[in-house]
Amino acid sequence: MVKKVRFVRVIVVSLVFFGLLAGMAWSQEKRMFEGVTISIGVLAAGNRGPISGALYYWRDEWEKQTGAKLNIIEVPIAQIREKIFTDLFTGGGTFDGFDGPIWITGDLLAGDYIYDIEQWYDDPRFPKWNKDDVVPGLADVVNKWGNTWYYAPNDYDCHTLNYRRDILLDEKWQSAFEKEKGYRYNVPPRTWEELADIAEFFNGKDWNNDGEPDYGISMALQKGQQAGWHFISLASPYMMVPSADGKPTRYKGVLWFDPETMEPLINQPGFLRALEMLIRLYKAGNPAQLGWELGGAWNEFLDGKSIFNYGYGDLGPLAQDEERSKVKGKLGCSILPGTLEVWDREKGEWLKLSEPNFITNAIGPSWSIMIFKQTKHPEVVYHLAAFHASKEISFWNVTHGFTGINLGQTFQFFTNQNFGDKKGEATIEDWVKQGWDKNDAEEYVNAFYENYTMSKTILPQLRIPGMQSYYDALDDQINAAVSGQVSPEVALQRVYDEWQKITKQLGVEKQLEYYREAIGYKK
Amino acid sequence: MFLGLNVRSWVLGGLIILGIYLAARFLISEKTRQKHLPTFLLLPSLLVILVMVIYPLVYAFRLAFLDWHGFTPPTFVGLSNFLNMFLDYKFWSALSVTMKFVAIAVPVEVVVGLLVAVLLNREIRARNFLRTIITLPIFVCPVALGFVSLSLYDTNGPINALLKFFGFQPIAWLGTPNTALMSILFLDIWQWTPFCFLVFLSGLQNLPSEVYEAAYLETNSSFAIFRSLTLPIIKPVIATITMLRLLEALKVFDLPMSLTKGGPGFATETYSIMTYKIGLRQFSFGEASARAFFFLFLLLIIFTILFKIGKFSEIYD
Repeated sequence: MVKKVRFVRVIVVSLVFFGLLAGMAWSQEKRMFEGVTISIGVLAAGNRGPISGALYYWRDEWEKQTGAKLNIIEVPIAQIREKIFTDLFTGGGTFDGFDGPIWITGDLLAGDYIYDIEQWYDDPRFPKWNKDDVVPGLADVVNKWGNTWYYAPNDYDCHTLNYRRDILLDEKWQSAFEKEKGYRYNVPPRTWEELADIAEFFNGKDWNNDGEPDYGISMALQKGQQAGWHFISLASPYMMVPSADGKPTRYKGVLWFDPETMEPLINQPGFLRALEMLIRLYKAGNPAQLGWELGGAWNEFLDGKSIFNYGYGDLGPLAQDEERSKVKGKLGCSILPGTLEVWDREKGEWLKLSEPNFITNAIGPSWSIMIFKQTKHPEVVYHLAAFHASKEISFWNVTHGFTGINLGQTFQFFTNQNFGDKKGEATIEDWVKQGWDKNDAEEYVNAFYENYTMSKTILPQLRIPGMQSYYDALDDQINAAVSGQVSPEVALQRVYDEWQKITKQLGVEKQLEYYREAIGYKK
Repeated sequence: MFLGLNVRSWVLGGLIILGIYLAARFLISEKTRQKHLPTFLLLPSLLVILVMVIYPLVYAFRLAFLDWHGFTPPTFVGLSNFLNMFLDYKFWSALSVTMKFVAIAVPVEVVVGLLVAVLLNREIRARNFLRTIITLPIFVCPVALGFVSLSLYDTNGPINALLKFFGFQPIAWLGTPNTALMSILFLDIWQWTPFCFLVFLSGLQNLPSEVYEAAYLETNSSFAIFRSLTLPIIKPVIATITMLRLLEALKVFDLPMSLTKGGPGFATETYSIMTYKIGLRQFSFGEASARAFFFLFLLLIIFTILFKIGKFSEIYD
């Protein structure tokens, strides 16, 4: 009897002992970064604002899983590049990583400041995400440099068109337009010329019945902000001759520089026509556009005062906020218009097309988590990036507008939308549950889908070293031309001269190498 | 850690200072020590100036002869940063915008400030209340003022609402080159005229009343007294305030940066904004440094000329 009791006791004690051991091992495995603190920089927008909002929202959950602490450092958008590189140049060590804009990738690689993520991708200790889930072609111009992955999927920015579906579909306006212009417009407009005609037609008319004249378009054209990007998006169909497989060749599918010589293409006739179009569009809107940042242009559209706005995907989610928006349920979204003529550099002539030349747009910061080599905890930063890239988190982020995170992984699209063998997994209910109007949500997701599938030619973000110098030169002159201080020809020639100067300063051969890798050009 | 140094560094530093003191105490004679005491006492301040002022200045001057973007090692380029500057239209444009700004802002601020000070130096009703109200704009942070004014100048903002109320068309204040500069000038004048007013007022209040009583025995004309008596007496104050405002206006940065970022086009891109963009946005440190030093040189010339023309040295003597 005594032996039996002793035996039971031994069994119980052993069970407790091994149970404790297993528990400790389990907790060790689950909280692999206990006691570590990492500091991640992010766009200053608060805990319900774009990009920073997602980091704040998931912070507790991520800290619970890893045992690490996440210190979020908000940096105003205008100071992001300055803060990052001052920290990296001086070895200040303020940031372990940054949820930053991909346009600084070239600068980061030139200084050898970031880790690639290939070494951790298959490591089972980290949250799983799938490289193949990224929309085809997009990873090449956002997450990868050459064949190497540097960023896990997070945000994918692009310019799309937003328009007032209710007004443009109104038979009264369609007939009036036809009477005035002699043709019936498409909804959405399929070319920039058609869009300009419509914008001009509505500009100055009181089409929202508030007793005041309204506008055709609202664009953020303030200097030092978005004017350069608006122009580049508009110029892409005028300049990018589509290539058969979507891969850039010397004369097809390229926009910024000649990939053989690094000569800027900015003074080519395609760009000139695009700049003339931008000036025409500016005149079909509020003259205050030259003083507007993104918020100013969005507010004009959300206030129901302009027919068109084009730019990043943020406007869709903002339109759902009824405190700020008068256009919920009236929103139309689509791929940006194309052109029926494209400048053929090889032949030196305008190529006439039967169908509009649409371009897949990948312009924008596409905020991604960068792992700095100055950090002592690269694995912890990668864990955070992988956590946000994982299916469940990433899906939640794109459907919740305040995060500012836009679609770019196949599973985020609707079930009837496919990318080769990859299909979307979302339903309209997933969006409606988050407060979206059903039609607005359909339009919004479809616009991204159109953007990624209607063309094989992709307009990449300029990511080479010195990008800020190139952009500032462009932005300054676009702003000067639109405000009438210089002619479009002079403006573009000045940009050409400045770009040549910048390239020479940074080294033509080096820049050429970076440029080719950045756009995936192979000789 | 204190001031970036750990305990060991502080103890080591203390021991070194103690060592120097003891060495001086036992190796140098009392007479020599007394003779060099003033120099010795000045050493800490000189050291601070050397580290915080002279070294950065020399370092920045050296940068002006280098091509350096931060990512690659710097290369010596001689005078080309200076020469290229003169060939750059943006340099001339920024210089011209800055001069335009100074030419309007400074005289208006000084003259209006002086007139208001003269007015509020008299015995009028609610004088103290008016003085307080008028000085308030000085306390507003210029960047905050810039951002707040974005809504003031908005097409749907209060200024345009007022225009609409009186039947005028709204104006895109920050959207056209002329109105953008005018809008910034207006804010600068609104903010800094009170500063001129305040300094002039303190100058006027220090004037001896006996002189005025004597002057009123000669004439009843307030203007004549102001021209022949007040102005000459407060000339040093005018000179000081003009130089202070000139110096600040030449470096203007925060208002145009927060309101227009230097646009539309180059209409409000001042010299400081241009230098900031080249240095801290584009990381072209050599170019930015060359432009900063050129401006320093230009300021020295301007102020030397002013001192000569305005006979400021006589005034101060």
